[in-house]
Amino acid sequence: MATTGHSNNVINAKLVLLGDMGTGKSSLVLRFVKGQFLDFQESTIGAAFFSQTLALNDATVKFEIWDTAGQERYHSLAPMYYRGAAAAVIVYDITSNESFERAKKWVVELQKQGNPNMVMALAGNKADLEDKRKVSADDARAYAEENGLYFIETSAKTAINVNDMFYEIARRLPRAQPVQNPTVVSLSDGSAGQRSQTSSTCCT
Amino acid sequence: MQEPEFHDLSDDSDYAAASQHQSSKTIMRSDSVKSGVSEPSGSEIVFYKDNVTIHPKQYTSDRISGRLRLIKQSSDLLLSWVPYKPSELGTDCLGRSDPEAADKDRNLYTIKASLSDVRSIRRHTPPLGWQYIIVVLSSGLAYPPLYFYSGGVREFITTLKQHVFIIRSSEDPNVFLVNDFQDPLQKSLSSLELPGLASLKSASFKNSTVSMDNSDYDQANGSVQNSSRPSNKNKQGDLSMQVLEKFSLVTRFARETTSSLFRENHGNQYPYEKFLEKHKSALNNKEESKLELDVTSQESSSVASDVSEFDRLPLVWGKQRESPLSVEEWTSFLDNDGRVMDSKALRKRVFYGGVEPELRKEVWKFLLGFYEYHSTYAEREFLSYEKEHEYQTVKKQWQSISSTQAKRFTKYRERKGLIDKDVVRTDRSVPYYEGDDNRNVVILRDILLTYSFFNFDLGYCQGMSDLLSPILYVMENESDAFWCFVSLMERLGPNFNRDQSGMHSQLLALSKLVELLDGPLQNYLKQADCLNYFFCFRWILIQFKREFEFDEIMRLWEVLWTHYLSEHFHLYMCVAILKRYRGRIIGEQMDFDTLLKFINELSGHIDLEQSLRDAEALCVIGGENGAALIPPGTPPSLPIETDAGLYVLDDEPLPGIEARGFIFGPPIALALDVKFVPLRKPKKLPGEVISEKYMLQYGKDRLEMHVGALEAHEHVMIIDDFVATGGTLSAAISLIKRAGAEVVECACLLGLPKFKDSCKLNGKPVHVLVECLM
Repeated sequence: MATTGHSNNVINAKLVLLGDMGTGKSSLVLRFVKGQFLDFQESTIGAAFFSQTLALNDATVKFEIWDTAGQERYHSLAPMYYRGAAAAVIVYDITSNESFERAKKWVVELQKQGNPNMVMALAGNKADLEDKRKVSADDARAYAEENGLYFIETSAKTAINVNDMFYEIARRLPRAQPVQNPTVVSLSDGSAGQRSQTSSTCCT
Repeated sequence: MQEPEFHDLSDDSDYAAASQHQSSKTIMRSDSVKSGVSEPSGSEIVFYKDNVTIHPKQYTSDRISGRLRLIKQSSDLLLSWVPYKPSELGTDCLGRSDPEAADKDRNLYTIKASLSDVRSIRRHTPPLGWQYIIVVLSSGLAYPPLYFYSGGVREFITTLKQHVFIIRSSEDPNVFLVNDFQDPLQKSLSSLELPGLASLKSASFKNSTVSMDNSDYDQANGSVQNSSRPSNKNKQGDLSMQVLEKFSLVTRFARETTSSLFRENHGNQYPYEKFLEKHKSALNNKEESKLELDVTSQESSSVASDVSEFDRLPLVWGKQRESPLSVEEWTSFLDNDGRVMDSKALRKRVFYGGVEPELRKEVWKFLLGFYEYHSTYAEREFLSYEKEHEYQTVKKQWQSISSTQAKRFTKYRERKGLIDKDVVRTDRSVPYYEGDDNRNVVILRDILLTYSFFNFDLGYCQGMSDLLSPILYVMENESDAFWCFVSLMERLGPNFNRDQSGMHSQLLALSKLVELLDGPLQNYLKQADCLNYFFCFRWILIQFKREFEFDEIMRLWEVLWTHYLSEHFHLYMCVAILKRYRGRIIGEQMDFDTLLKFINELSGHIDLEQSLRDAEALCVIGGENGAALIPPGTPPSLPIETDAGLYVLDDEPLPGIEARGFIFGPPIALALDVKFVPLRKPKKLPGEVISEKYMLQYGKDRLEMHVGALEAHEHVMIIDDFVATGGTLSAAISLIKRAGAEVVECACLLGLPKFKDSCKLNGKPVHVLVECLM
């Protein structure tokens, strides 16, 4: 659950999607996991969980993806879902400045509470709506670079960059080290009040 | 001929319960306290009747006759029915071909129960055939019908009345409720241990629930009796053990019932006897009750292995669902002016069957509380008219915001943005909301935006559009839909609290219910670190909206909104569904992630009717124990401060009326730790008084109360001994009203029948414990 796990090149990685409501978190997951897109993807209540496996040259990455409810109202539930995540995708809508501001807040929160080894991606979604763009790619990229995030613009609707984003995250995940497992160590040191690591989902 | 066709019981819901008794044989055996037929010294037989007979199987002519007795033992009353021994019967007078089996049955059916464990007794006096009674225990277990071949049901009931507290059910005059503590007043009265009630209370934890006379039949039972079960019966003082034993009775009952109904539903697909045999051997090998109740999860591994067996059997065992309320039936609930005459009966009817779709528009308004049950056609028409106007007023508040104003009104823009994002993705596959530029989507938006102004503090929260969508679909009217939504949010609003407190309290209550109703599952979830029950978050937040098809959700909601068996029936639904999938949850060792995924993916695959039946049965089995686990104020209960129940009385004074109201008022006030306020006859009170004159059958009288005894805006309940015309009580209500306080309800020990149930006096509910027939 809470960590990257390794066994014969197989990495289990928990990934969480965060971002304002209506930015397309669920649509990104659905596109990535099922190759589908719905014009009217219903809002996420609570959270949803998906898994998807990617084969890379040096490893197979099994993503365990947590898709969360976007409304600020449900913010207090978020830590339950990002706790122990190996990767986070923070999604904003390129047609909405508010959603970009909200994305920055998520970055700050994760930096404060999360795991320093967490791979963080900033996704400017709805890139197909170029004529309605409010957030320039340059601004977003600059922000991402400042904060050590991987930045990409995506469109769940047209599928542009969706798989690429997940592949890139997979490539950036820490690889197994023969003696010790730094990810696990850093996690358990990382934050107080963390859920106990009893049910680790390492493949065996 | 003594054929059971004389009184075909197949339509009798009690019969289903009664027939389950057959499958409860093993329950009795393992839970029994070894006790002989002969009465211990100090006991007195107050009633006995010979030739009381049970018919163990519905369609054979098997009979077991015996003697029914009521035995008074110190403060307890025992019901005992012992079959005649073969020697007493002569040869084969049962017409049975298998005497050994007859012995076994005789043994199995012996009844010995304390009346303190009896919930109700139902009397059947058919014009043809024999009279019989069905005894239902507080655990939900029922004994098979006891046929009085030589008559005597009436004497039996009369004798019972002399020794225990019995109330005739308001719903069925042939049902006598024993220990009916559902009424809060009665609860508080009984907790005072008033004379006459004391015997019930003192016996409530006696270990005489269901016991077997097995002295002669140990061989027949094999080693069941002799398993290494620890002897609990010596620890009379060990209350927790007693309670646990009761729970085990419940869970076993549930399981046994399952198998019994399975047999009923699926004919010969699964030979019942085989199951029973298997189950017996399980009993031989394991300390079953411990296994099920072990909350320390020491035995969790064996729990897991045992679980798969339960789940092989479907669980449907609630009451058969009825057809939806029809238009004709609905009219029969209304008087000439359109008032709903018996709202409880209506709610019950809807609970068990739902409502025909074309009636929803009307009936939902009552269920949701937009219409009052006692309103007339004219009043409702007027209300709708008024409310339409009020709606338009609130709506104008946001409609009149100009675009320049909106630019400087971030909060408004944000809200509108949230709502705009959500309405376009709510139920768009339902024809009513389908297609581009759908007018209904706009109405949905308008209502939600208006609501966010009507309740600005709460605003708009994700999930609300899901709750509104079916309501608008049903109402087809913007204002009506708005007000019904407002009523619904009165109850569900706390689901959207920012601190999630409303959700937390429901998830916590759910966890306690699962602990009560499905120990092994709770153990597993504890072990898997899933006790926060967040995997049920969506179920609860939007009342299963995402789990069922659109037409199904309307059925489920109308059932939930009746609040008939419980205001928290949705939690029992959760338990029912979890219980049904328990085998997979435990079998596949799901962790939190997998479990959440699994639960989310159940969407669209849950059998609604089955779950409703399961939930109903769980709710009945949970009974008061279940209800007690849900703290007052847990949504969708109304917040405590506006609840006109006993809770209001927490610190509020309790007025009582002279003279006999002074007998009952002070002890209740003491028990509730509140101030008692005497309402006295003229010139008795020493200080300054306010008084109220009133008419009596035999002249005029006056009630007086000290000035300052009650403070303005206090909520009180008036206590008196007896209500005949309501004259004195009405005067007391007026008096208290004049003092600025408010009467929430009145409670009397005795009352004429017209004061039973939902009677109101000056608009205040009157509770009567004992109905007097005069």
